[in-house]
Amino acid sequence: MKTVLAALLVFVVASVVYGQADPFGKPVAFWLDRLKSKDVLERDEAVQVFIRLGPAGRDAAPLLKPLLKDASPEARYQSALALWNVLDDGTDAVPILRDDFARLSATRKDQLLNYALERKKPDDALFALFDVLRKEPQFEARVTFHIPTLGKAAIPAYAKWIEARQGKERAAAIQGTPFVFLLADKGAMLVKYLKDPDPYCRIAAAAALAPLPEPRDDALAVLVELAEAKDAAVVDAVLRALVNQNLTYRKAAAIYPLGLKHPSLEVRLGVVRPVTQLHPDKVDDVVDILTEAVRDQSLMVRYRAYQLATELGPKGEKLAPVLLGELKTPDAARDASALLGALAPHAARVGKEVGELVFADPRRGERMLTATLQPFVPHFADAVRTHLEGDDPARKFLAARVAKALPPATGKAFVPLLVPLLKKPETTQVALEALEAYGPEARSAATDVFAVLDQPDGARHLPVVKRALLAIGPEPKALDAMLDALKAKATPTPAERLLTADLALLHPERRKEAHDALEAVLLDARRFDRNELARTLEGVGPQDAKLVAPLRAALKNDPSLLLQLDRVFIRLGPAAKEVATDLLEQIKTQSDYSTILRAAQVIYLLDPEHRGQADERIAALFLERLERAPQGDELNYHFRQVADLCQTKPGPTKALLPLLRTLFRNYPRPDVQGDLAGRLVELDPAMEAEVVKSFEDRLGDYPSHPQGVLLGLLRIRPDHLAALAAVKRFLDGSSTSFPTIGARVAMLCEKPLPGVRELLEAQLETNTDPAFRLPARVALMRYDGKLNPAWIDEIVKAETPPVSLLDLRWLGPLGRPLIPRIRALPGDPFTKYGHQEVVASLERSR
Amino acid sequence: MTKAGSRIPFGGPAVRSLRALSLVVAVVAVPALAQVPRSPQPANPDAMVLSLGDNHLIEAVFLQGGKLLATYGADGKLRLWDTDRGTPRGEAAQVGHPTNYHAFRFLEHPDGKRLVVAGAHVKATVLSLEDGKILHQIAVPYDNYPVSFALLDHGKTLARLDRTLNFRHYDVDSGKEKADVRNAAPPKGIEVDGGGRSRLVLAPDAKTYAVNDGKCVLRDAATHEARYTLRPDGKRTYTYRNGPYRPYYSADGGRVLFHGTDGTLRVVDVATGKELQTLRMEEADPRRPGVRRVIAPVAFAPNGQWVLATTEDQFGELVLYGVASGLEVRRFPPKVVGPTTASIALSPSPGNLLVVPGPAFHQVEVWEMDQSRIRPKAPAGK
Repeated sequence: MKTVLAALLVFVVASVVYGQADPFGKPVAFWLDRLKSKDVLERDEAVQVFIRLGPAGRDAAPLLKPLLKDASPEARYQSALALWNVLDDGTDAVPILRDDFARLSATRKDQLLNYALERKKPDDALFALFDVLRKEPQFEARVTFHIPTLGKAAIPAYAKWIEARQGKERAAAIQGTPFVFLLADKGAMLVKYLKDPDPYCRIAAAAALAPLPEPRDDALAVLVELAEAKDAAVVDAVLRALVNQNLTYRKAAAIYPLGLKHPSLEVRLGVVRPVTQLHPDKVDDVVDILTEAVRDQSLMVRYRAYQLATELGPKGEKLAPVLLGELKTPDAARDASALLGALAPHAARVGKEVGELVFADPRRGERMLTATLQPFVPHFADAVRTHLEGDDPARKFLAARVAKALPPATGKAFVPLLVPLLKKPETTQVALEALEAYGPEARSAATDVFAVLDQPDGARHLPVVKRALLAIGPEPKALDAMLDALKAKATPTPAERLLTADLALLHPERRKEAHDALEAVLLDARRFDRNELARTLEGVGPQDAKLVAPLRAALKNDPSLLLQLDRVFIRLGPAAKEVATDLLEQIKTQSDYSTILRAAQVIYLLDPEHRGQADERIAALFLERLERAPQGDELNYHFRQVADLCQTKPGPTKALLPLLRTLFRNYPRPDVQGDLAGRLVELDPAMEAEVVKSFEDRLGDYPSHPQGVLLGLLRIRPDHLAALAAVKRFLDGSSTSFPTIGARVAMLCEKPLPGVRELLEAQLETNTDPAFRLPARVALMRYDGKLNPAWIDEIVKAETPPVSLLDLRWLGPLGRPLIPRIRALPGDPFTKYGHQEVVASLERSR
Repeated sequence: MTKAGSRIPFGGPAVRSLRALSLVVAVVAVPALAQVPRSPQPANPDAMVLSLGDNHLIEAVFLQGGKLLATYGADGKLRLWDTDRGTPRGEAAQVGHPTNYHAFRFLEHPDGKRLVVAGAHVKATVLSLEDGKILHQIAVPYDNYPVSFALLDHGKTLARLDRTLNFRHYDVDSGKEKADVRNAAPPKGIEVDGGGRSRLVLAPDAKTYAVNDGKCVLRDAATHEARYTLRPDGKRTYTYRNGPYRPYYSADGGRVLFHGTDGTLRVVDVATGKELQTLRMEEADPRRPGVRRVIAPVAFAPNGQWVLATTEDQFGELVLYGVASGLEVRRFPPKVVGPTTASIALSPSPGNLLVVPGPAFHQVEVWEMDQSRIRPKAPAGK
């Protein structure tokens, strides 16, 4: 047996070696002979082979060198590339390519660019070739964007490249230094240029180094010194270097005021923020600049000015009349939203005037109905009331729309004015939306809202009526009347039955009717709105075990309903355990990957003992497919789902192990690997060394560490030195954007990372970026094992975008008490979707 | 199932009127098309421009090692040209019918003095290469659409293969059919589309034939046994403009070149049926990133070492591949290649001469290639 194995091994090794020796079907010796051929075509074919052979064809170098002097530029070009490849050294090749570059055809130039972009060894020759390529305007940007991707190995060559230049060329090279290079060597490559004889090189170096904490002081000192120069051009360069930074440096405080009277509006706008922060006495100058900028022709300039005016806050009091004046101009409608945003800090002062503007011309008023109008509405509530009571239909309609933005406490007084509007077809919808916005404050209108269903087009308004009633939460007595009215209908539609269920779930004593209504909907052959059903079922809990039977029947009838019902089963809890049997059956017969994985998730949570059977089927299905289509690109989404399944407790069984192993080894997608690696190692501890090595090999250079790789490593070994150092480096405050990555990794790791808590807390004190603050707070609350009520209030009230709120799901079981609060959050369908995701995730957490 | 382009069942009135309509279109439209100037490009004053009267080029082939060029135009006439000076040799000879584009083969006699022109719907014609005059004709029957021919026995025998895959042999000098030559009846299921440019090609030694009707097959001519098969892979990346293109044999019959449906070219060893090389375009289609550009064959060098191909897209670059390595050895800019790439001929001495459509519809030019470009060949003495 051993002999057979040894022979097999020899055969395999021999085939590999043979394959490497003859990648073009013939041995290297054959191509060396061809290189000596007198037939030019044969020789050129051999040159093509050596271009691709690389160092394996090193023996060809002496034969290729004479070809660099060939009369044909094409022959010289091809031989130069071949020589570069076989020697892995472009010293001889680059001068030829440089001299012939202008003579090359467009196709060849394009090929040369691709050749340069594909070379992984960033040596002097490659940078010399970049220099040649950059002379073609269409290649310049591609080369510039490519250089940072070469990683820190390219730093020595880039440093030499800067050094080889003089004067303005050197300044431009310094200015173009990729920020990742500076981060990697803490700016050491540019420090010496702070003493360059050329002032422009000093400015470029100082501007590049200023964002880095280590050389910042020296860099700013150079700028301060040069700002006092007699040469106006130098001072101008200093100012432009600083205003391009978008950062404010306290140590450069003396420089910024020089820009207040600069001829260029761009520079003047650039100093607005630093001057406001560092020289509060110069706010008047700032207001003058912004006054000019908001009247500028350029949209970019105007919007920048609006942004700066918003940041100015109450200090920009003198700007309020200017902005209001702009809002009154006929052209203002196009900028209305941004202008209102800029005026928001002065809402109390100008609110009435804004209200007058809204109602002066209903058409323009329509265009002002944006989210930025909200802060002004409470200040012109009187105008809203007047127009709601008035006779002008256009203004009345507009007032009803604006009324929606009133705070519920103020809105309570408007309810009697809105109720009559429910009866007019043209205003029914807007009145319903306003009442919905007031929630329980509009309880007195509940019966009128329900009465809308009796109007001729009542059925059309049913979804809005339902939303309004659910927001209002009618009294039990009112609910009784509504439920009785619905019950009296001879043939209720599925939508009416869903409304019955919704109202019955609100009623303290009539929950059984909800069960009956839902059962009727589920067993009814008529079509119903699945999303509405899912919304109604949001109110279902463990006490509604009676619903399990009809839900099972509906799911058997239409397996695709799982998309809406999976969360319901999880919420029903142990009572729904029997569904697992049906789902196992589905998993065996279904071929839709998404449905199967969703079903598996429910089985994991409800009946973990049977999850092995689900794992078996999933592994077989994926492995068979991957054997037929090994690339696996079309399964990318489902790989993600498998990774999510791995995160579902109690985690997969050994039956899934073959698939997890294949995914980890053959499909190196760091995000997926990072999520499944922990489970993989848990199930097969022998894999740990392989998994860790695979991640370590791809850890990369700071700041280009793939997040999935960091996560994978730290989930397996929370004290992994290199990965932990990378996370800490992200959080050390040397850059404004990278702490977010560190915070996210900390949030996504189940176990606390040693030494990270202090860094997160330190960052939280200064970093105002919501994209950092939310994951950092979630991570810290998890570390503490309890919710921080103040933070939660801030997060929920901050109206942060839904994507950010999604991070709340990582609170796990800790976040379960938040479910009712998140469910009650207002928002459009998109925001609601984000909220539902959070709720679903928290419900699943164990 | 009836394939597109294969036999249409006769009999229905609708089919009959469709056939009548297509005949009218062919009679009216094709001569009208022949009058249309091809492109407004100015003629190169130094170029060797060959005028075909009012007719466009259908097929061209180099003879006598590239010294002579034979062109077949839309008027059904064969013209011989001296490629050194660009002058016609002798008068144009009427070897086919006007608008007869189908399945022409130009067979150079091994004595170097005669040319046999054979095709579907015409008699085979034997011409003198010295003055282009017709020496005599062979009454090759038209039945079953004869699509491919070969000269055997040192030029004494003309072999004819029709689309039912049956052989007949004729004595070139006497024109008489040799009664003793027949091959086996093809098994059921082997069927060849005979329409348009023939996709059935007989090897120069008539021992094999190659077919490409989507599926590329090399078969033994006597037994019809397949030596090589390349099935469509179901991932066809492109719509063929003129293809699938016919297979090309090297002059010695040792290799055959197929045009695969996956946008690659396959060079196959005829004796063993083994695939020697797959030629493909290395870069992606600029309109569809990630999808390789498709190439179509233009010519196979007589020694079987080089393949000239064109990119089948708007760029239409000409690319010369080395069969030994499968790599691109030359690439030429697209300016010389028009929509009628199939009429481009490569001279027997590889890498030198090309025939390309000229600046006007009825002209062709002779170009030569060096290492980096293709340029019009100037007539000797200019």
